Amino acid sequence: MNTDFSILWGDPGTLILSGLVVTVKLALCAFALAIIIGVVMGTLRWIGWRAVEPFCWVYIEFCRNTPPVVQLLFWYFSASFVLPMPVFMFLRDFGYEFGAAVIALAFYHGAFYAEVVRAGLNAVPKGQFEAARALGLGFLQSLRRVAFPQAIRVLVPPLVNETTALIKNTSLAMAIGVAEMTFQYRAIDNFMFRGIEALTVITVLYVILCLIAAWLGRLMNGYLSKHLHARNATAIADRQIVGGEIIR
Amino acid sequence: MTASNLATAASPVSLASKRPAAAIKMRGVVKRFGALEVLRGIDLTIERGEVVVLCGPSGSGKSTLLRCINGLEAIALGEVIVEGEHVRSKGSKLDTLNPRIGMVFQAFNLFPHLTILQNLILAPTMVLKVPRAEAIERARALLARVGIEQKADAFPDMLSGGQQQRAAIARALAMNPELMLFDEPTSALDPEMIHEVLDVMRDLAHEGMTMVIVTHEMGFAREVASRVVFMDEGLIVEQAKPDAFFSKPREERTKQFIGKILAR
Repeated sequence: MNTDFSILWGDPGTLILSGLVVTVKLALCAFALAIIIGVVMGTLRWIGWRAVEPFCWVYIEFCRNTPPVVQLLFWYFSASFVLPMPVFMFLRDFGYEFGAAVIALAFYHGAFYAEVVRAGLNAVPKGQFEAARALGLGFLQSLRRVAFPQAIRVLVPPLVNETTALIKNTSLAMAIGVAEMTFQYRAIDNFMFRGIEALTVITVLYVILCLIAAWLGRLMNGYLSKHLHARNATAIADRQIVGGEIIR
Repeated sequence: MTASNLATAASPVSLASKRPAAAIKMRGVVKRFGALEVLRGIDLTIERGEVVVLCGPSGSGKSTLLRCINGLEAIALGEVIVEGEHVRSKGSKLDTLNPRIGMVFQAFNLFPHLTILQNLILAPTMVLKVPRAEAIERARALLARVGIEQKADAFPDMLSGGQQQRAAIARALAMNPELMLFDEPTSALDPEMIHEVLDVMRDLAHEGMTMVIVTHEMGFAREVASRVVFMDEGLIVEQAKPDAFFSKPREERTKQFIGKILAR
């Protein structure tokens, strides 16, 4: 079979582009929600608060240990049972499949983010938080001003890792009819028999999206450790000054 | 006139006359870690202005006792009263502790992502709502007092251990504490740095600060303490003025301990 990439300048190309927009939107929405879930759940687990511990445990283990596709199907199809029919129909007209995909991906990856956040907080020496509290800082103040700024440096690399997984998993949303990139590839394959060309293009696009995420992560890491380097530079300068004084 | 009267009425000086006599009162304090009873009924009263040294073998519960005073650890039984107020802590991360109890740790625990000055003004500006400029001014004065004013804009890991511990003491003092707790403040330091920290503590004691100190520096205890409390296996075995404590201990267990320490 011959491949002909020139066909992409027509309708198939437009379809893929519209799919790309949906993929990016889906990834951004799911990421935003997942990060909120991850920070809240990860922090709650880190507190080791007995009242909420079982709840957090059940959430994390459920979401981590079920396939994301199953969760997508669950959030999409359970809505028709849980919600009153008129409400469901209303939501469906507004593209409920997108909302369901956001919720499912956010819950799934939120569970992983939660574990990343908890590990990051655990990496901060216990004495740091104790010192903050001994100074009279409240729980949230200690968390915001002392624990998080130190945890975030440890936290960025695994966070990037998880985020690329989230971006790739947006492709599963085609299972419930979200018109993202992989969905558009299927459409092109079914109606125009140009599957290979479309598949090649979306593969490259996924790689680019994930690379952008990794690049943003590296940028953030660089920003966070900037004053770490500045600190080392000043430390060296300081030592030289001390050395100078000794010579004098 | 009325305004200035109000101002003086609200100042800690006039409150001082109404404060109870004892800075710390502990009654029947029991602390357990699981099945292990770390404190097995502690009764201890510490007056204002006293410098109390807690000593004893490791595992005797002295650090835990200290941590019960500011509520870092929750007690199982008994009561801890600091400046007339019950310390009610569940020992969870969610508790907010009394900002008027300063604490100095063995590991310094300065915040590594903040400069020394930022370390000092963090709690005063956030907890006491002191205006930033005022907090900075006070912080610089405190740093000068502990002899590291030139390190204000340095990060903690650029300082020597002794300097870090002095900065940590200044950070605690920035909250205007009514009493100070020291948890083995010199145990992580090189011998030559121990003195610079002890000097700062000695000055503080001479200024009349109420201090509770867990330390193995017996020379310092002898010189500065108003009372030495000896603990073993979660109980207070003996307490006395330092001279009496070191020269004529009453209990057999105390004699053993002192004998071992002096033999070092």
